[in-house]
Amino acid sequence: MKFRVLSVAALLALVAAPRMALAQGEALLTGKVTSVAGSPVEGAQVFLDKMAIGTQTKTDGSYRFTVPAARASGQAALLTVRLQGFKPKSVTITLSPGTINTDFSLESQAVVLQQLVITGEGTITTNEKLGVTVNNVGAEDIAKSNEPNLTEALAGKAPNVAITSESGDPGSSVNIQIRGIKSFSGDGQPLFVVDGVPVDNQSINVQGQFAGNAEQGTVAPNRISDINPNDVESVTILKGSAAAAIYGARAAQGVVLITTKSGKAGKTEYSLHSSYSFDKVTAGYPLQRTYGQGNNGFLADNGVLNTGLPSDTDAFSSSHSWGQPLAAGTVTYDHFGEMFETGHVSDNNLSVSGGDDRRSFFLSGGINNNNGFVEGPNDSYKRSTVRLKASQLIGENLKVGGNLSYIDTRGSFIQRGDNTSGIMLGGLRTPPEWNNLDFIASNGQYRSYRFQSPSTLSATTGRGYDDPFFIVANAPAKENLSRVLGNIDVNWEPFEWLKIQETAGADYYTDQRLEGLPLGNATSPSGQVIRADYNNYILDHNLTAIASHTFSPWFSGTFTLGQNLNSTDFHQIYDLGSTLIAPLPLVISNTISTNPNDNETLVHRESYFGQATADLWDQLFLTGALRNDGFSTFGANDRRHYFPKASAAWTFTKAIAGLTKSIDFAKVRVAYGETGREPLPYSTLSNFGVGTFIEYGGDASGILRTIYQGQAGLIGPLAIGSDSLRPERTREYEGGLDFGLFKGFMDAGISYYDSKTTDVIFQAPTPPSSGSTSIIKNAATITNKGWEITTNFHPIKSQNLTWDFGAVWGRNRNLVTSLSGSSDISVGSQAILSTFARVGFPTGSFAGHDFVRCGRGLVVGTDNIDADVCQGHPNGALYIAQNGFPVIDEANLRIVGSAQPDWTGSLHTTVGFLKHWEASALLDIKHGGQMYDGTRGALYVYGTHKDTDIRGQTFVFGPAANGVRGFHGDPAVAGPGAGTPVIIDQNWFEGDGGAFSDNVTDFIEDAGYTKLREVSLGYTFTQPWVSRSLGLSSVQLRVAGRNLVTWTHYAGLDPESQLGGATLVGGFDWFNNPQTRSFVVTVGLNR
Amino acid sequence: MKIKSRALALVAMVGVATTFGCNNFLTGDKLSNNPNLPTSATADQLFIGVQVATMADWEAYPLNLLPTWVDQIAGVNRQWANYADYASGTDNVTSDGTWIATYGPGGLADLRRAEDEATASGNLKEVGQLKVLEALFMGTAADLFGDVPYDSALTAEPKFDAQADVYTHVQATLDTAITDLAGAGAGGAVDFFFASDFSKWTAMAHTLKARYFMHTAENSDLSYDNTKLNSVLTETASGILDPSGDFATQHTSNNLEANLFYEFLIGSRAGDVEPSQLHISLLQSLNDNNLLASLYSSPYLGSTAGISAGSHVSSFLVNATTQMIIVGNYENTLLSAEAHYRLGATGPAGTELQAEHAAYGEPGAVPIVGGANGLLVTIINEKFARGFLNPEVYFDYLRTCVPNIPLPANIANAFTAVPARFNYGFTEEITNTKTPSDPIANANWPKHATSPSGVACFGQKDRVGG
Repeated sequence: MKFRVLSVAALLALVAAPRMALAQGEALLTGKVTSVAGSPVEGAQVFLDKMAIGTQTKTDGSYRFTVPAARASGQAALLTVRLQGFKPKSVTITLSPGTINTDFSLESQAVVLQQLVITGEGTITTNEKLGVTVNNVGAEDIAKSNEPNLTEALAGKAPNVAITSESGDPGSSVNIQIRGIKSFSGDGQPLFVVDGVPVDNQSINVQGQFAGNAEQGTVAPNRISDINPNDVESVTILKGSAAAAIYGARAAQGVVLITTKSGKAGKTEYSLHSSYSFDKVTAGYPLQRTYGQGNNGFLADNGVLNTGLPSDTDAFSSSHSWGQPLAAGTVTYDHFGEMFETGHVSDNNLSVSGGDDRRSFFLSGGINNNNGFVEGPNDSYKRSTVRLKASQLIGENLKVGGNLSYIDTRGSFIQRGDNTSGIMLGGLRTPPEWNNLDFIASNGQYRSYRFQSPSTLSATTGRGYDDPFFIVANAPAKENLSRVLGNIDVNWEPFEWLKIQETAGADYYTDQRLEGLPLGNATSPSGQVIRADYNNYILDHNLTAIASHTFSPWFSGTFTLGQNLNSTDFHQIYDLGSTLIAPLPLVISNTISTNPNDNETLVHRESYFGQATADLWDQLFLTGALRNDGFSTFGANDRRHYFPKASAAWTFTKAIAGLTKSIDFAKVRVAYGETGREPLPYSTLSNFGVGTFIEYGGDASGILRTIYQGQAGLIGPLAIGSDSLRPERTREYEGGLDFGLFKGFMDAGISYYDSKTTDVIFQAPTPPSSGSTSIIKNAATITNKGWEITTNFHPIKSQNLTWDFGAVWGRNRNLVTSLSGSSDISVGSQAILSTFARVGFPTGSFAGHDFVRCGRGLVVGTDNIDADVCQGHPNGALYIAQNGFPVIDEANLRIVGSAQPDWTGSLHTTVGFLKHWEASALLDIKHGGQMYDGTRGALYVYGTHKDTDIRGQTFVFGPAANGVRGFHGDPAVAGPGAGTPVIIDQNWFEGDGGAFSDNVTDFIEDAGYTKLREVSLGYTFTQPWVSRSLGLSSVQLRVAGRNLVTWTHYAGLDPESQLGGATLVGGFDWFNNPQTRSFVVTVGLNR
Repeated sequence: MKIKSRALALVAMVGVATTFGCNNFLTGDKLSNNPNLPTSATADQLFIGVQVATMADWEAYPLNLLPTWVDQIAGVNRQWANYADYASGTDNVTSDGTWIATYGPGGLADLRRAEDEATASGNLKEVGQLKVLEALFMGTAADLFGDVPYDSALTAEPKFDAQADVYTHVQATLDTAITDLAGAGAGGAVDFFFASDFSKWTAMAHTLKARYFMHTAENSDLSYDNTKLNSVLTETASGILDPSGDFATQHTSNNLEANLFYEFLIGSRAGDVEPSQLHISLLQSLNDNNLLASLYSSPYLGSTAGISAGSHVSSFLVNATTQMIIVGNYENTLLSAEAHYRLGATGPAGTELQAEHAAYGEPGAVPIVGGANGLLVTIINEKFARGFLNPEVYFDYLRTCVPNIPLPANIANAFTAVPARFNYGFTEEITNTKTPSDPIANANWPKHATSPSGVACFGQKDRVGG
């Protein structure tokens, strides 16, 4: 490693160009930039407006750059200096050959006001003029996160931008939800736009895509993870409708604008950044190691194979661990810990960038290689990227540019989740005395704890649950993706007052998957291969004209007109091969029967937009915009729709004399906007199709299709489409106050928003007896209301010590307010737990059965318990039947929780000292929100959870009574059996006390957490010897940690878990893979 | 000059915008139509779809909960242990699947679409085939749920017909079917069940008529309506007279064409259910040795609801091509035997019982159990034993309390008896304001039935939702 770093440094030194002398006719611009107090200002941008040429000031505040002779013809030019924290300053110079010396003295100014903000569709403004809430995340913050997935790097950076990682697996997706759920369908992710071009961010789980089981199979990346975070200059999050309305019917869930790094005029810069990470699972899992395999206290192998074929002479062993206490000295195993090792991620990035007065370029390459933390092979994710962004000025007014990225990702994933081949499911259900590492029997056959002694004739007999080590080694799940992202820009300024921008972009990828399950696996015993190809092709054209004019000293404005055309074509081919011919290879051609499917969706979008801004008296800033969208996904009877927005920002400190003594600035803002979400493709249509009927287990071969015995059958539609389908529409009001105090000591922003989403599309249930189960229509209303606070303090800004700290806080209240007469609508469909939209509750609330309790008007048998047994007992008291046990209320599906948090926030701090050191930390907090801990509930059934150690002991339900310990945690009980001692044993845990009964409430847990998300310590070498000895301008070293500590009450592995990936509704944990904590070492070499 | 060129360029840019924004950008082949699915279906295509749906419905969850509830198969592991104990699977979410399958795609909706198309094309034989299936679907719905929509089904918000009226409507549908089967046309192009042997469809229609006459023959005072019993005799005389006419699922060993119960047994749910001790002992006591040997391996020992009896339990011998009889000769014969018995003709009843036994190749005679009504108990026992995985075993149990089923050892707290019906499907309940609250019983369910020996059995006591 050491040799490699030095070699690269030497290489950089060799390729660096020598300093050129001033050539004939050139203009040399020099000078010094200081603060009003006289201290040198380092890092300020000094550039010639309109000519895209300039440089940055050095440590001593000096600057120096040249203008070619051809462009220095004695004309007047505006020389500008800009740096955050100072008022920008411009002077007009005469650009003639020779040396031109200009010094600047800069006044301090609140950091945030003049910061440029990209506001979408080619529009740009400054923070001061912004009437809406927009959050920016810069390259430095992204780098500090050490996250290979750009989406995850946004965690804790902005209020009400909830980031949830699927799991710690390499390549797992990351869910992003902005200001709450606003729909009942789709994945709820915002629109991602890279350098002006909308790009794909799907998470395609192979199982989920066709079979609808995203909780099964393996993790799947969200496609924004293809973008190399090292290539990103900034991320801008347009959160509310008032900000995002310029993107119309695609923006209801917000818009994330990604700007990639560009080359800057000046000397060519070289940069090599390498990091290496050590990843370990964040927590252990409590398993009992006292009782052995069996049932009802017997050491029994008490199952049988069902087929009775000659090969099936070997008995199934009990799936449970309700056997006898293990004899002293029995070897037991840590079935959780043994599955994991330390994972490693290496990340290497090299970039070369530069340019001159007419051209710029940025060339980069990066390789991120993630070897996951699961013991064994087939657990990795590798992303390789190359990118070239360049621009060329043609003549004086026309600039053409291009940006081309090529991405290659190779994933190898692990079976997980609600899946009999999943490693957590099989691993954690294993009896403590069974050695999962010993998964090959003496006769060479694969064995598992449920099928312990396979004969040689049992090769295609399912093993009940798969052994995790066998499945990791023998069940490859591969992804191989090639993606090209690119755009061509033309910027033309035909007149001083007019800019015309054309961006033509494309996003194309082909994503090949291959998932194999070998002979004898638990899911599909005769072997199975899934081959899937996904092709996504987005073409986008965006033409914008921006006119600006200063009408008077107190009134200036801009007017923008634009057109957008977009074509998105997604094509998938999926083939399920069953029954392997030979044990290997795991390819479709080695299977006896195949079940191919293909599917294509094509969507066209045609939009026009306009925006006008007015700047009045340099303190009142007005913006109004209107977009008209016509999408092919809209009903033919209702094809085009308008989305307006308007905002006002008033920097009132400029209007009220005397305020500025202690108030740097203060701004109030109000805004209104409308955004939408389009219907899913072909929702307007009703079609016939091939019927598929799946048996209970959902086994890949346990299916009948209406293509049967070579004959083609069809069935009608379950859901009826509507030709009048409109986009869902979100109307949002937003207001806020931004201010800075005490000459840059602190700044803060506070916002309130109130949004109402109407016309929410859902499959409104219709009576099945009418012949279909639903009609797709615009019929629901959702509200999201919330507060957001962002604050930053800069208490110390001395030369040798700087200290910043701050906080963000966000609260969102989501409610379903109308379903147009429907009652419960399934939202976030998945198999583990019912998640509903019910009026008066948050979207995607957990629905399930509770035990019978007082105060709910329930009847048990013929008893109305409120009248008969609950007198004198509080509402909510647990009803106890004669036998001493509670009774599940089977008749009522109750809303029992929601994954949506009460509030989220983060605290961050950065300390810089002695100019070279920097330490930073980020604490990420989610307060409230619940998780269905089905893993615990299922392990109760199997008797492997640590809690089942109490088996055979006597308790009473509710509080302790008559000297007998209380159980189940209920403060009050009522009913004929209240206080009756009962033995808690297999019957309870396998029955009403476990997750396989209708008992849901016992497994709803608080999933709030506080995570030490990021902590880092860095040192930057800029001493003269760095240049002298290494030929470099700086060397950065950083050690960092990620997710080092999690504080939570959640009883499962990690409260941050999103089985199913980037999905609309989360909050269920069913043998999901764990999260990781990481230690990272980073080295950066810059020249 | 400079200004002019700029103006020209501006015009060009507008031209680009106009060109891209062409009028038909939002419509076209893959935009206005779903490129993946057809927009129409023929009667023959729908008939195939419904046939496959029928096989899937009768072989899979949730209908196979019914034999589990009466311990014909023993749920012993994972979720199926809880189904067997009634701890789950008795709510309106579970029954939703069957409700939707009855009325939706693959059910009544497609049957009616196909009937309309076949009628229009003059293929009355196909209409007859479709109507026989319609009667099977709707008769079973009445058996499962009681009052259900039929007269106004497939309208926006159908009303619920009284269970008795549904059975009457089913009889009328079967009468029409029998007429149509003798009419013009070539029938459905693909007939997996009877290979276009319309006499078999006609015989099945008659057996179904007999089935539903028997389901409605019991009076509330425990006596039976002789008129309906005589109708049973009339219909069975024209019913399925030979096992070769059994209406049974048809499978191949090809992937995606195998018996779904077999796939359930060997697939991801291996070990969830085991052979039932009750079923095995009945097969043995009835001398149904061929059936015993075809269903289970030796030694013939089974488990009980919720509890596996251990590693010595038999194996199921169900395989990929095993046919599940939905309506069979055995049912036809035993319906006749029961009718004869209840009409006092014990001689023919006994003869028919033995004839059924012989028709399925069982050697020797069926031993008649002792006690009051021993022959009747034996007839119903034989129907229970022969009707492997057939929902009729559950309906017969509700009607007769036969066979004598032990309650599950770990029966769920909410129950003191076998669940007495499926609740209305969840989706119907939340969408159709005419859905009645789940009743304990409908008009034609036996209200006070006792076992044939006069002892109340627990099958009638606690009806789900009551």
